[in-house]
Amino acid sequence: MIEWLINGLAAVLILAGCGFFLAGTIGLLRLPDFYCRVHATTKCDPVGAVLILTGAGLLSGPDLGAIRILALIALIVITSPTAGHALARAGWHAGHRPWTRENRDEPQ
Amino acid sequence: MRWARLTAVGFLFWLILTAGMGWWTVLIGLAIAGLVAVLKIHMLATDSTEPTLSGRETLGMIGYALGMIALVLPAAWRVAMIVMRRDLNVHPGVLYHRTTLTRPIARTALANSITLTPGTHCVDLDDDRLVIHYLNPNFTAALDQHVLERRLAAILERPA
Repeated sequence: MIEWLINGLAAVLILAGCGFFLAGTIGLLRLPDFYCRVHATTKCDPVGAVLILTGAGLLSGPDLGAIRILALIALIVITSPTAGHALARAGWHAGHRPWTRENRDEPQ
Repeated sequence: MRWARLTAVGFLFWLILTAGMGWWTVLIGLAIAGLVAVLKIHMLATDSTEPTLSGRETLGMIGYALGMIALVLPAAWRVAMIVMRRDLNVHPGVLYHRTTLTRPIARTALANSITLTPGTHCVDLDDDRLVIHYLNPNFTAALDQHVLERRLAAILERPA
């Protein structure tokens, strides 16, 4: 019974994670400019990855694999915003002007 | 000494990820950890006057990171719903925000927290001024109310 519950919870987490990855990818394609696309990749993707890894951790049980998964979660949570910030900062200093509905410029 | 400490931390992380994969993996990990430590020391600016985190501050930051989950998950859901909608209802813009936090580590934590909170993204951090890009103006509510800053100040800002 407990094993069934753990497997079910892991499946829900992994499916939810895949859903966030899908949303991030759709956002990357649909959002209008560079800065908006950075939102999609740096928000939905880490949440998706953490959910999938948590589900995998539940399936692996309390062993070395679970410690590896915790280390990976920490790595993703730290590096994802840092990489997103580096990308956005590079764009900002390169002179990319953010698109807004008011200025109605062609998205960059 | 600092190089050895950074190499040890990087190598420990490598070992956690690759344990049981053979000696070649261990040697490669040691070489990469050493290289990364050299790059970190020579290419990333560090403030030698910045005090390291105390035990209380470290515990506080772990609690803060766990508390961020309550902000990140619902907001990620909101962004996911925005990009899935047919009309793509976004009104992006840029906001300049001056922070009252003074410690560099607190400002960095604030910038990373803003980036992790969906709908807002820290684009630049120049002294006490943050340049923040938002998808919709209503995503900046937590920022306007200084929720994150108050939490970080309680953990990291020491009284003079």
